[in-house]
Amino acid sequence: MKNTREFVLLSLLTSMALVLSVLESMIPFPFIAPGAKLGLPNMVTLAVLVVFGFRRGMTIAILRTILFMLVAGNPVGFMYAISGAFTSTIVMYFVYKYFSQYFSLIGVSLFGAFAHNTTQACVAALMLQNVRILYYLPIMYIVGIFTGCFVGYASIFIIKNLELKINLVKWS
Amino acid sequence: MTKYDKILIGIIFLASIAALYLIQNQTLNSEGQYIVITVDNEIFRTYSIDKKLNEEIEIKTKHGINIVHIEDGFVYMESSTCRDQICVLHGKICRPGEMIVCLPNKIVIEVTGIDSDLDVISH
Repeated sequence: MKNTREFVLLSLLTSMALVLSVLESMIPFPFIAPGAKLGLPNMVTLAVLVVFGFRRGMTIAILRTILFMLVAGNPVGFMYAISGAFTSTIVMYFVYKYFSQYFSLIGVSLFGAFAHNTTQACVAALMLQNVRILYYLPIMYIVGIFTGCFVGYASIFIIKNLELKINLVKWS
Repeated sequence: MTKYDKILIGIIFLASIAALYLIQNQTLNSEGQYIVITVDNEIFRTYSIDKKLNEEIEIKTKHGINIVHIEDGFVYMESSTCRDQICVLHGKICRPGEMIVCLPNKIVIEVTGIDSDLDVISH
């Protein structure tokens, strides 16, 4: 990172994602499905992915999960979180890079939510040695539609303001 | 939001609903829990737990006669000819891992399978 300004901005965004993680862990979703979350930190990941590129986006996603593990002290949750963050970042990047003429950021975010849910359920099935956890996936997908749309909308606003505030050329 | 976004939402939604429907049908057919009745160390009979199953099973052994009742997904020992009646007093069981034992008549009724009930929800 040559640019100090970019460095500071990325650190701020990382801490923002961390704060959002903490905030969202305080909002339980018990009425639909235990373990369902809003995915608020993903809007930071998505915005960084679009504005700064894949490497920065992935770095922030991974750093955010590691920091959140240190804050929450939950290594089991960390396994789910890091696998979900990893695959969803990759999927979002590919969809954004190759299919952005078809999908807006909402679609990209939906793909991210989809990948996130799938990986988490698979990791949970592996860790608990119980395939029946996959039965839980359709509910998570339906929840993911709403949270994905929300995250997509929010990241559109973030990106608009990020690009206004800093004179960085939109990453293409 | 583009046209493709809406199509994507529709596809995910419909696929999830379809999957939910399929899963529900499947789990209705087999709860994944079984009642295993063992007599004298040999498996006498197994039943998959079904809410609709209502059956009275009479087990005659050289030690005595036991009547096992399966009802509404529960199983219990209705009567036994043994002297202490611990098996009858045990009551109804339905959760995996629970068992009713009648030692004098050498009968074990066990519920096996994956426990789907949650113990604790933590966020």
